[in-house]
Amino acid sequence: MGLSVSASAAILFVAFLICFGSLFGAATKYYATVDEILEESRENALAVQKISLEFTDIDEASGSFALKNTGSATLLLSDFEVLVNGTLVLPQELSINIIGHPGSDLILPGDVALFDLDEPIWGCRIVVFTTMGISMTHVPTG
Amino acid sequence: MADSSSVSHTIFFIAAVLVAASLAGVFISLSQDIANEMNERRDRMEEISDSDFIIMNDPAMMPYENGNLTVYLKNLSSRMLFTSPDVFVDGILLTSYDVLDGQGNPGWSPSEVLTLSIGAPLSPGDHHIKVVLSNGVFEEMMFRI
Repeated sequence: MGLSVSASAAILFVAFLICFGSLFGAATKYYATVDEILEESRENALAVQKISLEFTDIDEASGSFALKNTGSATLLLSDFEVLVNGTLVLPQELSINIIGHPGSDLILPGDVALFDLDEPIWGCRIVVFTTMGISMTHVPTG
Repeated sequence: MADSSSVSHTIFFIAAVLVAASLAGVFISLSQDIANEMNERRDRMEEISDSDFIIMNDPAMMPYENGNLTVYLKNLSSRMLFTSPDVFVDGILLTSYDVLDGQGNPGWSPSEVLTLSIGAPLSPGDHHIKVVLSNGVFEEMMFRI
């Protein structure tokens, strides 16, 4: 009788160890992922607050406009997309240069980027999208 | 007498071990199911959290010509997304649309802009578009024509 109890207890104990191991492993990974996702969303929220751009100069006749990075984040030129009157400007139809730093792909805080469309933009509505989908719109006056 | 006692002990022993083993099997199977479920939910959460995109249109000037609405979608996530989202305009699922360009890749790569040309007869006024990915992640926008 005593041996039966011991053997049963041993089997149940081993089963408990296996159950605990698999559940603990899965739970640890699960909560690590949840933490990672929450951390990422906090970082994204902070990053969005650091991004700010401002139209500083628009030359409608030559089809160019300047954008100043007034935030504290460094932006990449390759992240920019431009819509003119609702239509996406293709990369080959647009040249972007950082004033004072030709060839650079980075718009550091305080830098001004010059966007050149090579065609007049009289009375056009311009929307510029940058990192994380943040956009700013120029609405023509008059 | 002694023989019958040892036989009954053996039967008890076997019965106890069998019951314990059965219970152990049930517990292990249950815990494995729960662990698998947690792993699947974790994978799904990871996928959803990294499926981010935007509708990159000017809501005041949506390109709409000859009954075709052009919608620009940009992949903001760090992984490839499927290029066949479900598109609802004013709550109606539109199954026929063309993916006009992209970079010629079979998928929708990070930072790539996808252009959808959607055949939808729209009257002048306010409208609503909702784009839903296969994993349920969606983006919507109100616009005016």
